[in-house]
Amino acid sequence: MKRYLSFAMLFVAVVLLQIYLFDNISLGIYFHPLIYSAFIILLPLKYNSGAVLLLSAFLGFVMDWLTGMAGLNVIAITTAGFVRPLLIKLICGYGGVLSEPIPMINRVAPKRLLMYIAAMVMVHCSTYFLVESLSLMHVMHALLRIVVSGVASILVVWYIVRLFLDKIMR
Amino acid sequence: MYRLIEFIRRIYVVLLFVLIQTIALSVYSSSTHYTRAKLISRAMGVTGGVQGVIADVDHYFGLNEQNEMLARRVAELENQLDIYRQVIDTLQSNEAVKQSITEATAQQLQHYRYVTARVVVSTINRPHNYITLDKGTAQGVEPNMGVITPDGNMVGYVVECSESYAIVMPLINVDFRGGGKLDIEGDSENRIGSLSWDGKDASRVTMSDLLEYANPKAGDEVLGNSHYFPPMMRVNVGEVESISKSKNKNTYEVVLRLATDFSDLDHLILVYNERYKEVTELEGKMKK
Repeated sequence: MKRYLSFAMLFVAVVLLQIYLFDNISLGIYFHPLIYSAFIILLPLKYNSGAVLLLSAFLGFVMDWLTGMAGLNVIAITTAGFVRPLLIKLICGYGGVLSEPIPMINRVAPKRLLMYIAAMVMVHCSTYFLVESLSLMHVMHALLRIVVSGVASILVVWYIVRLFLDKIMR
Repeated sequence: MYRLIEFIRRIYVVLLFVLIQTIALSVYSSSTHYTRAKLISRAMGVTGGVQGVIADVDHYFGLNEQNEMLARRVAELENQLDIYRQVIDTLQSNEAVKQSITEATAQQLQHYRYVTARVVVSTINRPHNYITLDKGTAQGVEPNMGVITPDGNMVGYVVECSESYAIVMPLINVDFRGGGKLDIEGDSENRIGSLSWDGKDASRVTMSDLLEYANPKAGDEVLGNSHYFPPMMRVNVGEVESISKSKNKNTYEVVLRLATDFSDLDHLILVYNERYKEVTELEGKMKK
């Protein structure tokens, strides 16, 4: 029960942070950190894929509803939710933490955890900015946005993940 | 049948993903800038309160700068007013002229209405940037009102309103379309071009379709040219930075450095032209 409450609080926290803090930062056209993927990243590693996908769609829907975006957040975050099991398998591997009876994200080695966060954030940011640009004419421009915003997002999500694991899931 | 159920059970995640993506992509790709503005306006009904508090804190720290700018603007307008007063005093010596000027001026003034508003949310890092203002239909704001900064620089126009909020389409939105004219001597028809933004730099826009005869030069000022603002009002768009010939070589395409700093907007002025609908409808008929 405590875990469900922690994840519910995390959901609310990432949505509020994204809307009221990171969407209000005006540091130029290339800087737009997307941090709400932290919620999907932090879900238990062996969580049912269908449930992850539905939670991703719900998170995207809430973001779209609160920011007035017509489906863009759903497209981006469900893509990240869909590739999540594959990325976990590739990065964390069955020889590692996944072979444990209850694999938990806080048992993943820091280097692999960072790789997993980076991969998830980049999938999310790439889908978001490429769909948003909706044109191959500006592909270089979109790539620059993915790199700048992606790196900023990875740093923030890394901090959120560490905070959640150290202070709440301990 | 059992195999089919088993097959669907195995691939249901993929099917679910395809279904969600199809719905979301069709909604996103069919949305226009008006539907986006409408959605933002609705979203402000939920998040507007907190966004307003954040904007208040931001405004508080910018008060000094705002006061200085407003004092400068008041001094500038006082100077202009003094000139008009002197002209009117001279003309009022003639009773017939006095009568006609008073009526004409009153009629002219009735066509434009001004409202001030404060920025609640504005973005500069998206292809479809919008600005949310803290005034809506309850305060007399309507779609198609022109928007300028207090020092007379062009911001955009209102596209959507709720009771308490208005959504502005700024110059830095890829869907923005507007007119601009070079502020130089000569035939006004030859100095007019179309303003648009390519989504790459929040401090520059492009003015295209500028005829050869316009002969633009770097440093030339560009003013807004639309029915949102009074014809005599100098609405500054920016300054010509670079010039190139279009692909067909018959027209110029110039890059403008914007006069408005979209990352630092606070109070804005909204201008309503009561004849806007009439003029645009008439122009629409002519185009057909």
